[in-house]
Amino acid sequence: MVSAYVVLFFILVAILAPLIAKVYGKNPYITYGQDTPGLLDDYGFPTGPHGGINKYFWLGLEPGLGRDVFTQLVYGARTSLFIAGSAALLTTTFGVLYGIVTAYLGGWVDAVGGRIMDIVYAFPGLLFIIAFSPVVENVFVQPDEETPVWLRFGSIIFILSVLGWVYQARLIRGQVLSLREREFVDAARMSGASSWRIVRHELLPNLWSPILVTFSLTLPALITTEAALAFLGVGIIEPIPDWGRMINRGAQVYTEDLSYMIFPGLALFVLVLCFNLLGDSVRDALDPKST
Amino acid sequence: MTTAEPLLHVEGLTKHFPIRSGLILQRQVGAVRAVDGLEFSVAAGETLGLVGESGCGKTTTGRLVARLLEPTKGAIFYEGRDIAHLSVKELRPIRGEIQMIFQDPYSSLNPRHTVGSIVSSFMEVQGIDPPGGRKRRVQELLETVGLNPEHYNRYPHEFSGGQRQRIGIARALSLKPKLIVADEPVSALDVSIQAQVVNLLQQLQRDLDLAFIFIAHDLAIVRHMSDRVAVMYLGKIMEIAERSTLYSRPRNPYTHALLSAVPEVDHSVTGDTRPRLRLTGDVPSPANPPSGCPFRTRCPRAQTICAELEPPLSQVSGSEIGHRSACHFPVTPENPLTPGDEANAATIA
Repeated sequence: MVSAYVVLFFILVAILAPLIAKVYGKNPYITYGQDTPGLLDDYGFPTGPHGGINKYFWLGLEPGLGRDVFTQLVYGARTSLFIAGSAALLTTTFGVLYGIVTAYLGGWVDAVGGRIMDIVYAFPGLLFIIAFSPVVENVFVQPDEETPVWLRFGSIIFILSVLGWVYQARLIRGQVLSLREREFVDAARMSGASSWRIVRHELLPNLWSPILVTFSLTLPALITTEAALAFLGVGIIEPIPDWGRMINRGAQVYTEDLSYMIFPGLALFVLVLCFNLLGDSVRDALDPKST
Repeated sequence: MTTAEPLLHVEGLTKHFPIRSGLILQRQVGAVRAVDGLEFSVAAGETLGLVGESGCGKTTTGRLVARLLEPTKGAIFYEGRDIAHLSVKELRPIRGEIQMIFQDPYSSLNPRHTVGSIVSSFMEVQGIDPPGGRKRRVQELLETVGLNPEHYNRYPHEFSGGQRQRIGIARALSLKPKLIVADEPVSALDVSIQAQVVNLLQQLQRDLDLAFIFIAHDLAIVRHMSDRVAVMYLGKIMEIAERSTLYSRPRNPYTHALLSAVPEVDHSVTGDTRPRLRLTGDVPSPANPPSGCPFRTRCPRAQTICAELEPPLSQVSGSEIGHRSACHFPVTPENPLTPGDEANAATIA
């Protein structure tokens, strides 16, 4: 139950990021450390203990640029949840539709559909993403133009979805294959129900639980993938705040300033853990036998 | 049987399931002849029992008649209209009149729906709005099948097997059918519950003038339920007759063998001194059935002609009209089953 509140807390933080930043009085783009002398030392590291934590900068300053860590984290939650949430929604929707259609129709549809899944499954996903993100952008953006923010978001979501749907599709296909042999499906056919009604009225109620569970397990996986992409430098680029990129920067300076890596790392860890726990409790809650 | 047009008449009913092989381009390399050229009729209000060993095609026959499967060949006349190849849409009006009771009460009810929703969904699909509303009708139906109408909002997992089967029966009755295909409706239940459900079915048959196709492998239950009984073997009907005739004076050696397989407490008590025909060996594969008579590989009376010519299902001379059997060497009073046949059966196997 705690996990649900923590997840909700993160979602609220992401939605209310501008409001939080306003109350807090700072934003993630201003380089406070460079603008105000005395906050960073000669080597670019925050003065003061634990990465420059004080009553003005609650979680300290970013080494080098001197941006505020707290607002970066808050806005970073936005980036993470938006990208992972959209990609999870797309993969789940498409995967579920694909799984139901191939398994329910069967025959050659299932044979062809199954091979397509095998091919996508066998794809080296991360390599593909690293190699193709620049390609996707080159298609839309001239070399002398700057990449628009929406395109970065769009291409990351698109690439994550294109490679991610097979997991859901496989799971749902297996579920439908076993469900459609059950006699209650025959009973529904005996009432003269159309295929659409059988899918909606007989199969879907039995699929909600696996769908929600995979959704809540896909989301944290995508959050980490998104962070990993940013860490590798093919995800969200400066100046948009992003946990993965913060960890990347933190990894470069952790010997001098450990705290800059700890905060985004901790946020990522807590969010992913709570999403996973939430997935388990959702499954338990959806089982009519347990109520 | 009356001379009037029967409720259901089946002619040349055949279902072959293709066997495919090949990695990518799957070619048909053979067919499982699950049901092979059946012919039978069911009159209104009558019960036809279908018996036979596992894999003889009883269930496939039931599913063909209920049109859960489309036959490969043959015709299914329901009230004179051939429904063998109708589409889902064309079948919808007929669905209300032919219903089915399923074998496994644990898989025939959707675990995510309440009893009320399960029973009323049929009326929903058919667009039926009974006077007093669907909920009222469902509660009446629950009462008819001996359940508490207050169970309306419960889920299937809260019920026992027998109660679940009653829910399945209520669902089948919700559209006021004329013919119910009951596919082993009691074989998944405890023996004590079997009798209750069978009695319920008989009660309903009397009250609602239902016709049944009653599929079972339990000969005693079929005898209890049926007006006429058809014995199936490898997708074919071996013998069909009035119940009492079939059980007391079977003509087909296979029927004898089936009846012999029923255990009895003590022959001296029942007075049954007929020679017993023990069946040995396995049923041949329906993908590769024997030539001629399907039973010849296990039949003690089999001779050369049995392999060459398939015996037609024809009227048995000297028996009631409608007693038909498919055998070249039927068991008759003049040519009774002898202890020698028993010995033969053993050597053939």
